[in-house]
Amino acid sequence: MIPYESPRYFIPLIVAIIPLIIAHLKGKKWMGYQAVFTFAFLWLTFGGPNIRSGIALLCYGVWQVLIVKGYEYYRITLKKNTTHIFIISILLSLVPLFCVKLTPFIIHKPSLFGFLGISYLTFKSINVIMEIRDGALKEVKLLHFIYFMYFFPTISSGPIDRYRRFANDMDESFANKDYINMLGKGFTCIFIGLFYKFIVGYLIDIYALHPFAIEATKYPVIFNLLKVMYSYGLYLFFDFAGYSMFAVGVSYIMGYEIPKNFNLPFISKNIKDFWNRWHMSLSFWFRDFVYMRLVYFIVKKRVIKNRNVISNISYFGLFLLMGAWHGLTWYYLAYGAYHAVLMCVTDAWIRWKKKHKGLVPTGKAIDVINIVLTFHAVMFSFLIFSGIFDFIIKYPVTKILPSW
Amino acid sequence: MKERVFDVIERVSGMDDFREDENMDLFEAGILDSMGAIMLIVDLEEEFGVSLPPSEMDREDWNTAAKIVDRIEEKVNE
Repeated sequence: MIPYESPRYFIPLIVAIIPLIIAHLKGKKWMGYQAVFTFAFLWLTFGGPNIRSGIALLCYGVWQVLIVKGYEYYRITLKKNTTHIFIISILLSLVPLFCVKLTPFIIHKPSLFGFLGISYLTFKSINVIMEIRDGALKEVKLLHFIYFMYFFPTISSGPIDRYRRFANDMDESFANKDYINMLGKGFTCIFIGLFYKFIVGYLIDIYALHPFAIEATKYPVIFNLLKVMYSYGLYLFFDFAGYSMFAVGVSYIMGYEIPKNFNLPFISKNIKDFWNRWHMSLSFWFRDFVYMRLVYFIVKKRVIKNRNVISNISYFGLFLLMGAWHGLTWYYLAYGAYHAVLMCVTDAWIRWKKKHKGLVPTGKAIDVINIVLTFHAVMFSFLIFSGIFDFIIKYPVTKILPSW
Repeated sequence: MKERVFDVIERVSGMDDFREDENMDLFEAGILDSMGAIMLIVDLEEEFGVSLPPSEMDREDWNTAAKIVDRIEEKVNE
């Protein structure tokens, strides 16, 4: 069963979480029960008929533990710090993801080592290796790391938590937490999630996206593509924000304040604002571990002097990688490149406005215009992301019509 | 020390509004962004001869001029 994919998933979930709520209300963490609970729900997704992916998940975990503990020993116990060992550790950590992403291109079958959520787990492991290197992590406790990786509420699609934050939650006693408040937030998130994913997302999918997409592939004219653009963009939001709400809600009830993924993205006033509100745990990860590192590297090595050029190059680095992470297809890369261009243009515009203060009017009306423009720029990016252009190119109207 | 840190912030951001309110949120006020933050840590590393890797600069610890001064003092005295 894919986590939160159908309302049925919630029946065992609610039953199994009740004892934990009672324990938490009494100030107890019940780590043993949490372990059994986690194992049972991992089994629901990766066990039984999916046991192949379960074994892949287990092997993946062992691999990452070996790399992280190995690097911890090298960096912290031996107090050594060479760049090549760091890079090798990062590459080794990425090997499983590369294999899984590239295998379908080579043997035209999904990889045996693949499992749901592999790319999200890779983010977590890379986060730990980078912070060990930086000296921000003084120790990686084995059980903390394993639970951080295998924490079932977020295993399939995030939100992408950070190790230091998660380990603090694991260590902190419930005496210091306002658990009643967390419980309330958790249930609120779950109810919003139900509304988003199983009502709004579902209705958009059935009554708009599905018929519109069929129409647009048959007759790819602008009006039909616009209908797909709006319905797909909104579906993407309600479906994924709904999922994220479930993941956050269940985590809160379990006593973990994992980061949220969405903060009203459609009221963004520009594209930078949008990336601070849309799939935040992913965009912050890329900001902190790709963009900022690239900038740091370029500035330190004095490769390029002009800071706007540095920033723009790093935007392309970030967004092309984000596109490739979604999948190695031309339209995901185009989606990344498109967002990189939007970021560069937005930065240039902000710089221009700073220089020419007073020339650009401000106020509520301007805000509304900015929000509408940003919304459309973003919606168009989702249309690229949807892959519909790929479909239209591969199956032009002349090929499709006779078969329909 | 404080003056030297403030000078670096001003040089990197091109703004000095933060001098009036040391507890102003530099990211919210638009004085720093991710790019500016990195330029700032690289300049601070050179100015004070300390090492400030990006993951040490959590936004919550680095969002005001006063906090940056505290952090640099800690680092210099390490």
